[in-house]
Amino acid sequence: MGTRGRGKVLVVVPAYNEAEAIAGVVASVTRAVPTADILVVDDGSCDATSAVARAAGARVATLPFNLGVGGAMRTGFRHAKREGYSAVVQVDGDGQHDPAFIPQLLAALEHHDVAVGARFAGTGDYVVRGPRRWAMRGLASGMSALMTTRLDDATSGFRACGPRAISVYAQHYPAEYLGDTLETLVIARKSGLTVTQVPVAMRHRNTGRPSHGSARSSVELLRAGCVVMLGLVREWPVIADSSP
Amino acid sequence: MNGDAYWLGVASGFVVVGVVIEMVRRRYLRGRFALVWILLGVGAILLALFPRLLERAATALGVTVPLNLLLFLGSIAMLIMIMQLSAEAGRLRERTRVLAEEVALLRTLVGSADEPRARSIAAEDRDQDSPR
Repeated sequence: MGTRGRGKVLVVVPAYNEAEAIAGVVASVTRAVPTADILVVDDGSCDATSAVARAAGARVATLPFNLGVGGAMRTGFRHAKREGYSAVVQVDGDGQHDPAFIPQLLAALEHHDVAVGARFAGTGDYVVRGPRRWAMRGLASGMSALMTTRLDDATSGFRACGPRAISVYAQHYPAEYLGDTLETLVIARKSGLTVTQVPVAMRHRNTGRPSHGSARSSVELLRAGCVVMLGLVREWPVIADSSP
Repeated sequence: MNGDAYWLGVASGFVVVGVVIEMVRRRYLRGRFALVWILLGVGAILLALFPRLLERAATALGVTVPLNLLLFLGSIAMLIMIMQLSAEAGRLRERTRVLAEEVALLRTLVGSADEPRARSIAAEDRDQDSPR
């Protein structure tokens, strides 16, 4: 058990084959929140992600094989809990999330346990059209109703978590598809955590393509529904104690 | 039932039990699973030796064709075992995941002094996994 993180902020960057983008991400996080520690979780990459991230000045945890974002994030939360960090911010390794918004996410933790950076809540020019947009809209209204708070971008991976959320997520962080975004919110709700959203602008990815194209949106929505249902049905222990 | 089919049933029952015992001996099958398989094998031998048992059970349960009872029970048993295996696979997967996460964190503690070697070990691990 360490105490090096006491009261500090840990920025966790899950990265899978992001050797090209990761140095830029680490640099911009450092610029945005100079006091925060950065942990890059290399999710079993085949390229030089670990080496590049380390050279850029981040602490790096290298997973022996690919676990998906969920596994990478739980690694980060474990580390945060052990070292006593007071907040965890997730920033994807592909450069999509703009670290300039991290202070705003952290500010939202004053009154909430989880702050989700939302693309469609007014800021930025991130545009999606057609079926993908409808699917995201439907998902947003469904999740908002379920969570009893407005969530325009429930699948956003750009979020900040306070100490109570760190305790919960260090134990339970789903590895399945969409589990790392949607189901984590359901877990938050079932564990008694409060969730809010912060409007952010997202950049287009520096490298790589989006996870899914517009043609598969209805299937995605269906799967999202299943993930949420599964999250609701599953038992999650309520361990949201106020003293971390 | 004619004589040949009778002995075929008995022989296959013994083959199943023999294979299970050999697998247990070589430690390929362990614990609960070995026990279940041995019980199933013994049941098969008993039914093969005494076909009257099945007929009586069928009459008692009101099943007209005894063979149907056997098939029904057989498929239920298979279903249960498959579910058991699925659950086991999920549990093992979760444990592997936790171990992988812990390994990653431990590596950060051990430090990057031996980084090139760590990378080559990780690459070897990946090669042994099934190619994606």
